[in-house]
Amino acid sequence: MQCLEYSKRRLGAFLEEIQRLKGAEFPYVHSEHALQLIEGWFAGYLGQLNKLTATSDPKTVRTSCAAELSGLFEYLPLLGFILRSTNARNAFEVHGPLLRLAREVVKPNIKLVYSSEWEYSPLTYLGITHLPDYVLIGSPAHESDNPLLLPLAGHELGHSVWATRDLLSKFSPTIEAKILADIKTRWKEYHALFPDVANHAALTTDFFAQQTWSPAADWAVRQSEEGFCDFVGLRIFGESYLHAFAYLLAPKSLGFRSVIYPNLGKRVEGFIKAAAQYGFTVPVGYRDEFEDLMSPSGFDRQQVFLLSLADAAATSLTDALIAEAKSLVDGNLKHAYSEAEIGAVLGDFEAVAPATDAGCLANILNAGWRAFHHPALWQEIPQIRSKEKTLKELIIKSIEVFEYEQLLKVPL
Amino acid sequence: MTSAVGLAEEGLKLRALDPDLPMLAARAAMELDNYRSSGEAAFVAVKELSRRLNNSFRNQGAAAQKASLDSGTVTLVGRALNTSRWSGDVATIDQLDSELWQVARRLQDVEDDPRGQPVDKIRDFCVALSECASSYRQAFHDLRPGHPFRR
Repeated sequence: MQCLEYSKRRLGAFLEEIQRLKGAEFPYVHSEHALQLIEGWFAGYLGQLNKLTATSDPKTVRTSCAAELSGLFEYLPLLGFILRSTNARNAFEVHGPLLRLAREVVKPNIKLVYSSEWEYSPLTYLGITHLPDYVLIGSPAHESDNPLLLPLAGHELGHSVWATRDLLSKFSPTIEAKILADIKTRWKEYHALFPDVANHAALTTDFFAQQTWSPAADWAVRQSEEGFCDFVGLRIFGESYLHAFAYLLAPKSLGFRSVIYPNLGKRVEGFIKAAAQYGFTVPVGYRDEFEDLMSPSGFDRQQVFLLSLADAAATSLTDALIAEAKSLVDGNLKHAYSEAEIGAVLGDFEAVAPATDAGCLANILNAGWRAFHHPALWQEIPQIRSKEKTLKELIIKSIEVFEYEQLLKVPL
Repeated sequence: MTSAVGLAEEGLKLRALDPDLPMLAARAAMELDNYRSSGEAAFVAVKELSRRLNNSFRNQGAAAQKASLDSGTVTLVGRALNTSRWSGDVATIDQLDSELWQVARRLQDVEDDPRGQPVDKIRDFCVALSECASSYRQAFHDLRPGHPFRR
């Protein structure tokens, strides 16, 4: 079977690429270690492909080759990401503080690969079983020197918290119950769209009926996860998260919404609710900075109905998710931001000095955003030609000082 | 080097959207097929799949087994059981739980001692699981807006 030979060659080339990448200079060991783990998994898979023979079951051979091909589709971008984590354009100063933060809120033995990425939205690669205990966070390449966007890493850490704490198991029964309850309330609508489902009872006992509403549950779970991640970011970074989010996404991107995110307006309403719970002020007019995206084009009536169920189920969990994020972050974060410390850092910035004794990353970033929005800052200092550039450098330098201070207390 | 599979979370359950599931199930199928043709009993992926399936059941050891799966995974597993013709077509959730429990037991038995086990049947389930998991993920992610310049 020719496809088996092609499959082996493809995997061989992939493994050779990993070998070449391992020759790169890694600023921290986690990227290199991630490559070794990926290599181990694919080498094992190749070893298994090599055992297939002419007498092997043809269906097994074909599916194994197809799975290998899917694996390459999914892992090749990951290799690129790991390679880019070695690029000098990355702000290496932030790796230590972000790693400390991840070890506090996610897991003590977590490893971090932080890199610029050629995707606009900050992202995290998640659920990579071959990279257990890893957090991989990407930020858009053109903003990789912009520390003001660092609060968004809190969202990405939230995904790891969600996975590590198995919050899917915790929240999916509630989501499914809400969806089923709403279907019962809207039975006429549902029955018109899915006439083969005879009655309420079938929804949870009949396999066919279960499949009619299952996509709504999938979408609602993902929307809830995204909401939870926002709340983790808000709890860790406070108001600075709001500014970073708005900088990146306001008013909206054109096009249609994704089913796995709450629509933008609903998402921001969640922020405002969380801010009230977490005790910080939302900037005046913040909600009005954003607009909802359009509904997905090409959805049929069934999908539109399912999306409405998903949205309602995710919204119903908002309060619980805000509380969950607060509980998990507060229970693990060693040093939360405070008004007094933010004020002290801002005082250093006003004196054009890097902050010392900042206490935590969030203090630096909140002070950074306040400085950013301070219209008169440094106006009397003619030597400062670019306020933004100077501010970014001050923030990065403050993060570096903060990390040195931490290293003296607890080495990584 | 330690097997990456072996490093996975102990409590990991079967999840429809786990990115590694298509390859894991395919590797398990290859291991089973290799045992069938050569007698070599090296079951790394079989063991991992068995663990995830067993973790997906509540009340282990009780007579009536109830799977603790999110609805997406129920859909996936039902499709894999139907595709592999494990038994008759899955009609009810109770039937699905019962058949999936059989698969979990069989995988565990193969791992302990493959002799006398219906290896072909279990392999066919793994093949179906790999294909269905891949298409399920694809269907899910195709609903996200794509990049306009990409074709």
